[in-house]
Amino acid sequence: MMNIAVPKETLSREKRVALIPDAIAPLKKIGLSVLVESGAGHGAYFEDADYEKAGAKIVPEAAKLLGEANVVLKVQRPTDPEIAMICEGAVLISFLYASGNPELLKRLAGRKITALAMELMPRISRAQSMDALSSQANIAGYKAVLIAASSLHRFFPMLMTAAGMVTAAKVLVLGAGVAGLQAIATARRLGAQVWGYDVRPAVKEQVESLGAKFLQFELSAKDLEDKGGYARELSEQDRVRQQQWLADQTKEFDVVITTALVPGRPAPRLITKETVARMRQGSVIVDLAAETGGNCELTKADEVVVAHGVTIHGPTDLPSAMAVHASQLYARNVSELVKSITKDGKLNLNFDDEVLAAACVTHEGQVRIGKS
Amino acid sequence: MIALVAQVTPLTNALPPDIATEIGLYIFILGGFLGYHLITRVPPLLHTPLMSATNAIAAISLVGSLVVAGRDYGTFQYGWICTLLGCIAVTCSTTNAVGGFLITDRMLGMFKTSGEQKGETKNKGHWFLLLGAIVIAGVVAFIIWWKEEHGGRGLGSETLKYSYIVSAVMFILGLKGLSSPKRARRGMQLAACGMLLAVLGTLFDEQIVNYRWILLGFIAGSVVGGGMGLRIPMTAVPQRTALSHSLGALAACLVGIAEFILFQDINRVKLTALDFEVVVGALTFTGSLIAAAKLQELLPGRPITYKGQNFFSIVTLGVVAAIGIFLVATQTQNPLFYLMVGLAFLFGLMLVIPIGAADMPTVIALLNSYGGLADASMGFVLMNKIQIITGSLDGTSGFLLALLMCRAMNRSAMNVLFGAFGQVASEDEAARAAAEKGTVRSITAEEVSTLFETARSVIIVPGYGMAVAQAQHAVAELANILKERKVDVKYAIHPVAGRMPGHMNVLLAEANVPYDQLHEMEEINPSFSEADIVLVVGANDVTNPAARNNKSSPLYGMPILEVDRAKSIIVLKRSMRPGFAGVDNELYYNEKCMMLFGDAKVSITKLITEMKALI
Repeated sequence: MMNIAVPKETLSREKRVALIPDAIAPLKKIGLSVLVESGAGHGAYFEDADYEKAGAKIVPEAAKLLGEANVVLKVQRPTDPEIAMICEGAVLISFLYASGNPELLKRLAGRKITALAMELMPRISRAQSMDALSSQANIAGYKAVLIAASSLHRFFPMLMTAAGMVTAAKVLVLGAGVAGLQAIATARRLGAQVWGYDVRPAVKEQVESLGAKFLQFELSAKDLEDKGGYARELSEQDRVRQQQWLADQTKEFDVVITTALVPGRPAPRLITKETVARMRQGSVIVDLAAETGGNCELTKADEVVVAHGVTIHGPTDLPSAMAVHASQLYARNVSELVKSITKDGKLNLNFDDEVLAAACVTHEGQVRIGKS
Repeated sequence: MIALVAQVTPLTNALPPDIATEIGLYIFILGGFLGYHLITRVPPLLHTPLMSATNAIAAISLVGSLVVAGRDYGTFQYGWICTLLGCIAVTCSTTNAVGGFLITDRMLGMFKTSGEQKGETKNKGHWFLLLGAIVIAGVVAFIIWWKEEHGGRGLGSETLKYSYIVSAVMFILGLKGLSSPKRARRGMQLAACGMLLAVLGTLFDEQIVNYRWILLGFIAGSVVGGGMGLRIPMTAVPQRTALSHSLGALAACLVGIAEFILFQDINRVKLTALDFEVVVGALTFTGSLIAAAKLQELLPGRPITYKGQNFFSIVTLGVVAAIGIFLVATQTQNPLFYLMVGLAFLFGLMLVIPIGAADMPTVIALLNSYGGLADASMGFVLMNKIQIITGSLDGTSGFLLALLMCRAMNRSAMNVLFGAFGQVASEDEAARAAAEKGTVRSITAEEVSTLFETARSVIIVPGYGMAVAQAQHAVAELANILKERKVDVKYAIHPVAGRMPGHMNVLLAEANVPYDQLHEMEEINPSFSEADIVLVVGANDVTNPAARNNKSSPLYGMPILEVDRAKSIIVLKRSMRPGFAGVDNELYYNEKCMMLFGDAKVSITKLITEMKALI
């Protein structure tokens, strides 16, 4: 019988777990057995007893667990010792950030591990249930607004009271991907006036579909959306023009949430320190691109910076801060992927399948990235 | 408007003829507006019953026929011809009235909601018929007795006036009833009572002294009309309508001829009306006969054309018009009149023969309108207000109905009436091309509102289209209206609906839709087969059956909302443009599926307005 193994995440800040107890029954139903490392779900409030009740076998040590595993489910990419413990020929499903990590891929290939990168799921209708980037970005977008709201010393909604009127906060969301859209929706729910901005003009309709307004900036390049639906990097000239224009716009807002990411590249610099200096005192910036350098020049990853009276957050672990739901959604993503690569309880790797072909980065000792 | 009619009616008898005519014209115009407004409210679903109903109401020519058949012609040498024509007219229009109301009633009976039981109402219908017959016999006996005792003065003219006012109101309410399937049947019964009342009232008319011929006409007409109304299969309704319609028009024509033979109190206005009545009545008679024959396949259904058709038709019409003008100008009892009638009969034939059988329902509606106009002119000839009102109602409603039917077929009225001249082949090709791809049925907000009338369970499937149109509040309002009507409403949310995870939740929460009405895909999929209506608001790929059964589709393997299992599906969509995945949705070619094109918010707002109007 095929073993699905869920080790405890080794990164200290990581509270998520790749599989939650509720996700075990569906896997057992298709003939798989599930092994969980003791304490794996602790950070997300899922205890060993919950997993056992759901039908998983608890294994006390990572070495034993990974040694028995046919498929390993993880959230964060494996460390070197972990890779050494996974047996040859096993399948690893995890976020790998593969394109920026040739060393990691070489090591995985060296161990003949078939590694599937969750961040490489193709954006096709059928694979949407496996799209972990979306499921986690959704959480980040929501949480970013809450962080902004709690550190802004103002109301979000408009209030007319006996003690006078409170104007609504003005929120600008830069980058209208999944995180950006969820940030827009959440800020609207809290009662703020919300504007969205993205270099892809097609996104205007999506921003407006959430009842927010769209900041319009005319770019010279006609279509800035690549075939996967992600943003492309801008030309130098466009970047300068955009920065000037954005600087003028940004100073009007109480809250700016930046979510602009270009896959495999440093985050675009949308807010310079000069712009921050021109912003109103007490304004808040939440930069969701901190991990890849930040959209704001003054952002420091996992730190809160106060500059020119503006509070700048650079959180990188927002999904982990909502570990319960983040784990639940991630568990569904990986379960769907597991279902698509197994048949009658056995591994069934069909590289004609668009999903597997896109996600698989190493297989039988070969690094496959770039092929599809 | 009704009040106006009520005020002027008692006055006119005492007025000189020219003022009476003027008032008659006002009545005619106002009646026309009323007809227009009543008919714009009728949903396309009820167009066929409406056609049949206006047809039955057009049988008001019976009122005029009664006078002609029952009048005492004294020593006038051709009096017997007038009486004979009157008797035939009574027979024809009685057939029209009895058959028309019966068949309309049967048709509307099919729209019954599930709660009503069929057998029960049918039995009641028979009792009503019997009761009606007894009452009629009683009233007729009373009238005859009264007239012998009191010489027909006093009570008679008063009764006539008031019965006309009441029956005018009944006709108007009856037509109004047709704007909703729920009340249509009662409305038609009301109109039938109105007709009965008008006829009974007419029997009090001072001019009517001789009831023998009237009785003969009544009996003959009732037997023929009743037999037609009860026995004819539902599939033959259009030709039945055309046939009984031709009889109504013939009655109008015959009454006109009788009046011409009598040639009494002739002035220009009366003669103009008389000409018009006879010509329109005659061409409607032959036109309707051809229409019926085409529908019954006695004549070939395809358009029959020949060279010089246009020219010949126009010349015929020109001659008819010229004679008419000549008669009015000279005011003489010139025998050219009979030539004019003959040519009008011929023109009716030529008018309908070049039109294809598929367009016949529209033509019948149009002929209905002509019949109404003939009735109205008969009203002017006899100075009979109820005929003016009814004829005007019927004339405008028939004309508007014809236009609406053209629009429903997506063709112009010109194209229907004159389409036979050249275009036929290309249309056939277009039709064939469309048939290969399967047909997409489009529906209007009005029609959707009538579908919701009978629904018990509705599932709403929101998608990105709802978000773009910001239609969430309108959707929630619609759901609330349905729930007030004890309809079970659920929302089915596909996991990837919209462009952001939880997109639909955000919007529906904003519109205060309770969480317990939102259902996940797996949970709701088994419920679709029990839903009467699925309303898809701007969702596309997530409902595409290709994901289930077409291996070559890029959607294959994606779990979908199984909306195609519902009893009927209504899709709100901006256009036929494909969704996120860029593939055609085969759901739209499903025969249970109807498309309501347009911005989702606009469409639903319109739908809500329609639904509120139907209460």
